[in-house]
Amino acid sequence: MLLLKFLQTMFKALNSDGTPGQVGMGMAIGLCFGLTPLVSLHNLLVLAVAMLTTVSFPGVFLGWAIATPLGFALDPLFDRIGMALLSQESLAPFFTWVVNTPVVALSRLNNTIVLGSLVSWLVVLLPSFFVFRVLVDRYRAHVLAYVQKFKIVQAIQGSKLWDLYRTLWPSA
Amino acid sequence: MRYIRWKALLPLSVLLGLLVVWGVFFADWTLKKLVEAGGTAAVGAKVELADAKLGILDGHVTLEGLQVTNPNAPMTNLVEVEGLVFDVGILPALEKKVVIDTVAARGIRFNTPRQVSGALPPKPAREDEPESSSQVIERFKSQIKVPPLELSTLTKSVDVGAISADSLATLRAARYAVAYADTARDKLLADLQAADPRPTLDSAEALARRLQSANLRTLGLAGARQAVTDVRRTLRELGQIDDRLKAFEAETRGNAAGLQDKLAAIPAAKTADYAYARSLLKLPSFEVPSIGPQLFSDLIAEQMGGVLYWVDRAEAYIPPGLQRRTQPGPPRVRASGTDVLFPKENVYPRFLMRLAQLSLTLGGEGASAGNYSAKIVGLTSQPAVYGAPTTFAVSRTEGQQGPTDIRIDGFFDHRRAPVRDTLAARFAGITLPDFPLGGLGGQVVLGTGLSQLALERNGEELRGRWLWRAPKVTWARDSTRARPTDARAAMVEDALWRALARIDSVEIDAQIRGTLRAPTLAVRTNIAEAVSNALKAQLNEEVRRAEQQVRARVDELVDRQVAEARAKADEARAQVMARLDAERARLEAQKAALEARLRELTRIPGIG
Repeated sequence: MLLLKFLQTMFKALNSDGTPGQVGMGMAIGLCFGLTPLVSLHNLLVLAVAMLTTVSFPGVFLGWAIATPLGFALDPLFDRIGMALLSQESLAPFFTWVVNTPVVALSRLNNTIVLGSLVSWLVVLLPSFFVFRVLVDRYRAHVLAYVQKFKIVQAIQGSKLWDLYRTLWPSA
Repeated sequence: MRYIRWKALLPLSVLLGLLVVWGVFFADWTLKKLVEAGGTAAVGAKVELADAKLGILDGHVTLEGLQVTNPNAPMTNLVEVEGLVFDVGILPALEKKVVIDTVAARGIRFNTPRQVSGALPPKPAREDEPESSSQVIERFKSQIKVPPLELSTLTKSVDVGAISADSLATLRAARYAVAYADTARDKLLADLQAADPRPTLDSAEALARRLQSANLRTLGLAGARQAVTDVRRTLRELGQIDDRLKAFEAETRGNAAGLQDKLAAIPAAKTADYAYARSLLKLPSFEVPSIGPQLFSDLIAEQMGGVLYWVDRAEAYIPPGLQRRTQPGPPRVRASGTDVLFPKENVYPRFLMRLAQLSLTLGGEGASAGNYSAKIVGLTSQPAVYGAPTTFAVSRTEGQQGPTDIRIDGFFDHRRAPVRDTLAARFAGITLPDFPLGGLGGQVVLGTGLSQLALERNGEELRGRWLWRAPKVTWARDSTRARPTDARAAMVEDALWRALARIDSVEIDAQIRGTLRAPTLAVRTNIAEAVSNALKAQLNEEVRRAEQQVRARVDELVDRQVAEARAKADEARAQVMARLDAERARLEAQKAALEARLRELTRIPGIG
């Protein structure tokens, strides 16, 4: 069931009417939900950005789905990056402000995993956008027509969920 | 191309609205789950709440039916509270900080039975797992406990073969003295060899011989002047040699003093060896100060271990200073990571309870049962941020029976290192614990009396006193315990019990000193004198004989080495001094001869 949903999301994102740039940016933004701990204040902001801008929303889901296993696997690395940043004397005044400021303190930026993963995502945001945009472009030029012939793809696109999605996001 | 999707504003607002609705409607449930999960993680056993209510706008929190399971007895609650009402600060909550302005609690009861077990399923052991409470208490107990009075060894033959030569400090001291003497002698002789005075002495001797029968006629004026110059130069060289010899003599005296110190340490090492060898044989000490710990350290270590555990926890949970600290991150499916805390003065600490007023009830029919009131002021996890010490006081308001003189008060001042903690507790007219008598197979039932504890921690230094005073005690010999098989041991034990039975009132005064990492216990008691006298009457002669055997064995093992060390030291010194004396005698002789010749030559007019 999970696999089916993943495939559905993937095809919706890749085959939708959004430009490769919109899908690529959607995927790059979606990485945040998978790479960083989901229940975090910054993810609420990222969600708002994803909803309020014309990035591809299915692309966001696809990026999330791709990044979730990566997030688990890279946690030890995020922990080290976060600890290295939190141990920097020059950054101490900033983090002291973070943990002692109303609402900002709820961001948990003093946690090694949250900080390490968030910084890592910010670092890969733009490169991943360009990579995803090129990949989507090439996919649509070379693979889309071939994939559309698969019955499973047709079944997914013909499902009620697909119709509901098109109703909610007609421009996608 | 447009970049903003204005139509998404509505779904986004709905989403945020749903989050707010969740917060409002499920705040109570969330709070209950948070308290239960946090409490369970902290205690290591189930913490349950019947109900929780959170007033989001006014910060009013009510907890009903709190049960905290005793992790060491899962069918018992450590504490049960009927109701707790908090006034929590809203602004600090937005900084993820818990600031409780006031707490009122009612119906606090201790050690109440549970319907179902509150034990947690066993977790796989982790390498970095911190010590559990029982492990910490056990560590403290093992540090302050001393072995019980051992009577059975008295009747056994003394095995002096158990004393190993390698473990004796005297032998190490003697070997060290020998090595020191050898090294010092070799160095001095080598230095003397390097700065060999013989060529200068030979040359001075030759000059003196040459001038022995010389005069103005044989030397001529120029020759006489040259002779005077040579004599003066040689005398200067001899003076330099003299200085060097004096330096060697000073060094020899210094080495001799050092060696003397090493030899002087040998008797002390020997005394230590006697005590060490004696301890191997487990001979009981009849000295009054050593009897108290042997009799009572078991129970006192148990009780003091519990107190020290809380002192240790206070340091862990209330760290001093404003240093950056780390703590494990929140539990989640992914890795928890580490939270780094950045404390700062003049802000809210992460946890602060400004004022707590509690009413407690101790159940049962005992003398300590009754109602108590407690007041805690300024309890915080970051005292340096808060800027004031934590004070607490508990007093009895109403007793089921007996006197009401029960008081506990103290403070934690962890604003900066060194931390200072004090605790004073006085329980008068309560039922005191029964004290097992270590090694004697029985116990003293103290009955009703006074228990008074005073504990002070100043940095690492620990000073404490726990006094139990019972005016009317009874002695209970353990009838199920097997009597000593040896008739002599049985007789000694009987004599001790007869001596104890004559004592009506008992005072046990336990003093704790040292540091929290290495506490030491001393116990004074009026029982000790009676036990000491009884033991002396029965066993003095036997113990004296055994001690003699031990000393003889130690002497046998060390005396030869010690004598060798002394001889070696004397020999080394004698060798060096003989060499120095010989050189000095020759030097003085040449010096005197040359000076005499110089006087004669300088009497000649025109020379001098």
